[in-house]
Amino acid sequence: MGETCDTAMHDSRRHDISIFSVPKIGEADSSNQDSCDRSSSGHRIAVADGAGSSLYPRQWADRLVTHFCQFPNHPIEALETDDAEWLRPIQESWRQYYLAKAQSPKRKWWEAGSSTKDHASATFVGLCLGEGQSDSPSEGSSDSPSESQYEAIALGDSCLFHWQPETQSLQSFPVQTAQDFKSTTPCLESLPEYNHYSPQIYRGFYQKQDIFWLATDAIAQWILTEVGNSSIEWRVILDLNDHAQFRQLINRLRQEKRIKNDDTTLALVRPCS
Amino acid sequence: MPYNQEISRATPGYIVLLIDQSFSMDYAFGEHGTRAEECAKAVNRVIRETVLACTDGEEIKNSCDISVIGYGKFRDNADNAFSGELASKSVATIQELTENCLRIESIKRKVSDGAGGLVEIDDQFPIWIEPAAGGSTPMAAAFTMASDLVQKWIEDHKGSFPPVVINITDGEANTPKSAEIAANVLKSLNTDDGKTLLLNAHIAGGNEAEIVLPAAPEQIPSNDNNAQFLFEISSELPPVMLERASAAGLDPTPHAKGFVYKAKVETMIQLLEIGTKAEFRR
Repeated sequence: MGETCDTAMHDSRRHDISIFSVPKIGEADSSNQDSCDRSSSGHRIAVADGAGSSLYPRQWADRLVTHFCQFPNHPIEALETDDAEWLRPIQESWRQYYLAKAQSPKRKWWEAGSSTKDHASATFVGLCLGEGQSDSPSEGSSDSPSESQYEAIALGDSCLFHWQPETQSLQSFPVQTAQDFKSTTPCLESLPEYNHYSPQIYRGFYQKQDIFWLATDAIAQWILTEVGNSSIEWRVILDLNDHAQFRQLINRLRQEKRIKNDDTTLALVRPCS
Repeated sequence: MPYNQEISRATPGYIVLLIDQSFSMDYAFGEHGTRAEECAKAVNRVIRETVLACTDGEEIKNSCDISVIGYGKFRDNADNAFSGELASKSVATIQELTENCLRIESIKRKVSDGAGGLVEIDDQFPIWIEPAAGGSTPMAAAFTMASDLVQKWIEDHKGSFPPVVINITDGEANTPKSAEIAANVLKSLNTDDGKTLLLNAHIAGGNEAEIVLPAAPEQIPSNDNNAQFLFEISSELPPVMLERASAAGLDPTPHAKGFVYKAKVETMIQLLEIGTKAEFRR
């Protein structure tokens, strides 16, 4: 299952991965609809942002990130080949969860949703880091022997950031600027009956000193706003060590009205040295 | 940037629905019912969808308050249109709405079982509002009552997305000048996130051309004082509602107002959805 909210976890086996998540102001951790998971080797990590107004969004977000991180074959290749096929098992799992709820004689009227609210939606971003592990990308070629390949897949406005200290370069995927965040965004849907958008795929190389992070839309938009304003305040992210610091940062940005009051998740990945 | 606050328990939304209950609401509307019946049906549907937007399927979140004001049923009054247990509640929370409907109607809905078959589930439709049609059109009284409720609500919710007031009417205000003044007072009330939004759905049963989300007075017939009046008092849609309108296929221009004129049932419902779903984002 995806990580529970408001946690910071470190995977020391391969890559240093820290996961931070806080719910909206006034919400319990159990109401957080974001989910994050990573593979046991630490080469895969995924974040999903369940749409709060859809049906059982956390159930869907959990299934997405776990499926990506535990998939027996290379998940991005599978998604690239046939994303509908890749989604099908977890869509059926979500459907059975929903049907059990909807057909329960004790259920309340809102638990079955409606004809227009009958499924969950979530944005998604997944990262695979190369290092020759079974769940990693195939070995890529690069001019530099110190470089390794990474692959990312995303749909909607959950984002991957790649910070390259050597060149002081920050890249984001799939959203490039703060202005590109809209009130509606493409999502992965929990039922195959709904038309779906195919996720975008990005492949690149990284060096061991590089840092990645996966972020849901609120903090991703704040980072890109800062970048757009030529501010380097976003670099505070690079120094985050525990969830208390993360919560403090998000609370401050919320008080200053510089970030949306939304469930906010950040997964910081420092490739192994 | 205004109109940007997310809806949550800490910063709930507030939707105020105004229903014209004048005698002409008893006229036919659409294929199956009267204006009052279709209006009540649409309002019950909007309340249901709003409650559903405030739950993830299991937990009910008090992240939106709702008022429904009827005007014209009795003389020149505007009143709380809720009855039963909610008759004394001019502002109802989501929790109160889930616990206090007048009745629940069920329709069987067939859904896929994922294995090539279909299973039936009960689609349940709570009824909170009954159709009503009686007297004249005291729109000014409705705007004034809405102002009183909005003002009190804002005192406790300065950080929230501003209240959204949607007026459904089929006629002309008894006293347009007073109604305009009352509407302007209503629209001047603001949270830290923006001014109260007033949307108007004028409904008609005929086959005349609709005017949908106009942006300029030139789009309104110059000899139609009622259309001009409703256009003038309608708020310009904020970006979040323009996006929702675009997603609904309405193709609004940048300064479009929250106003539909001589709207058919479907268009009235679209305006209600733009006004009540946009603040929930996704």
